Amino acid sequence: MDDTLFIDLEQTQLLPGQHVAGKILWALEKGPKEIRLSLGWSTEGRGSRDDKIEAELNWSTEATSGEESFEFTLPASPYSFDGTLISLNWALTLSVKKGKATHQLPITVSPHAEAIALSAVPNESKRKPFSFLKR
Amino acid sequence: MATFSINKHSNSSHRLGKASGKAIGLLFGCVFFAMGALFCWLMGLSPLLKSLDSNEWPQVSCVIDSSEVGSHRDSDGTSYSVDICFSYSARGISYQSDSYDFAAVSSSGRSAKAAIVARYPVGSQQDCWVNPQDPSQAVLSRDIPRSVYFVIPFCSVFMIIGISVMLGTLGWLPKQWNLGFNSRHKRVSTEATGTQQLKSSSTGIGKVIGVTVAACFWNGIVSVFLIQLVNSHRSGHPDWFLTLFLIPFVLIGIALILAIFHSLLALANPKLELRLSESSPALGDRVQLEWSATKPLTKVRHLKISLQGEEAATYRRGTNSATDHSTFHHDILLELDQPATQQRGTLELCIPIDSMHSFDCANNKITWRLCVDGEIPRFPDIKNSYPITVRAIPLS
Repeated sequence: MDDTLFIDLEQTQLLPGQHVAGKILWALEKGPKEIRLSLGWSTEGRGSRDDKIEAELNWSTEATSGEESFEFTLPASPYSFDGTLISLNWALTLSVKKGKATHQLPITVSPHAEAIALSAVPNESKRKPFSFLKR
Repeated sequence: MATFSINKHSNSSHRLGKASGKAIGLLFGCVFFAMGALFCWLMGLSPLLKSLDSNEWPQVSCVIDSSEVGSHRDSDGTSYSVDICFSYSARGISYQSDSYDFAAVSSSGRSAKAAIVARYPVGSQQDCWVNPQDPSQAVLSRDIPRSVYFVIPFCSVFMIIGISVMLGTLGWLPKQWNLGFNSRHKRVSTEATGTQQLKSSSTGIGKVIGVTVAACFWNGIVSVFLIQLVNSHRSGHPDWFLTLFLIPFVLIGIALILAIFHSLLALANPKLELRLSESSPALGDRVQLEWSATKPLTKVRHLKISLQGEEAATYRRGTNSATDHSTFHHDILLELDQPATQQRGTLELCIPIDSMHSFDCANNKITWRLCVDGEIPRFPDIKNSYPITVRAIPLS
């Protein structure tokens, strides 16, 4: 039997500050000892990765299968965004202490239901070297 | 039955990783600096100081016992050295020396060494200079070894990298220079801060100090060699190799001196004082921006105030770090072709609601700022930026 972890959430497009409720389900070969659900974000793109776990829930159990409900209140920021150099992605991550099983559910935290799109615009104010000599 | 607990994480994970990263950074910086300093001393500074010190050494006659070009073969190829042995007397005691000059290394290029050896045939009588403190030490040439001109700048790069890594690891570099790759997130304030005068990210004085220090450092080193060069020309034996070699270094030194004047002139530019009715506006907010010039804008031909939003991503490139920028918002708020007629004004500023709030992490940032650009003919332009914090939309 394969180890199965699952996060059951009604919707994944969420508002900052929203109260989130859902369920976790697991079916494992061995007792997990502890199940951990974390809410966090990470960056990806050109820059080195930044990440942060905003909240974490733990359940101590030896049951090989079961379900538990969870609740979080999302913070007011940062928003999910998708820029030219940087993207910020939120996710709920479910993992077990004993074993390698893991499950990640990407979510969007934004006041506009989807990640903020930041597209590059030309910047005319960039410094032009020796511009003072040209006049 | 499952037992439930909740943890709130106020900081990023990887604390252990941070500590080991710090240790590696310190070790790397220390090794880089130590190796650079060691080679700089052995192959650069020590020969240079000995050469300068030897100006006081007495001149005595000597006889050349052997004279040949030594070749040294290793995995990197063959290098050559001037191997001349000579005998001389000092304080009534006979000595023998095998030091042609103060160079501590052999190098590629056989012909230059062969030309030197040809000037010192075996059995010929020559002049040498003897260390009065230690008569067993004598050289045939007191000139600064040419290898010094390469070794000191080359090793200095290693020393600067090493010390920068150490200071960066310890967090002693200015914030904008910091190479920090630890995951630090500074949450954007949710509270309004009210009316405030904005601070410019640079007063211009820092630039003057930075350029002056760089010019003094660069020209200080170059002047040591320049004095040597002037002396060689005055003595009638100009060192043409050194003359040609020094030209680019002297030109850079002159450019740095000109840069001091440029940055000093920029200090005389009129400054714009900006005051926002809410200095930390939220996305979607409309705020009043009052601007006033500290000096008359008579010489300013074109004045522009703009609101800019920018992504800044810092990443490793080998042992260095680099930061890329991408502008995602650029809104020109004010554009004046004859700013002399208007010394102050008020305008309305709208922060777009569908954009991203300020975000401040160790490696990735979203920054907002007001930029002031003024063109002054034949004078340094006005270029100032005033960072602002854009808050997320307040929770209802």
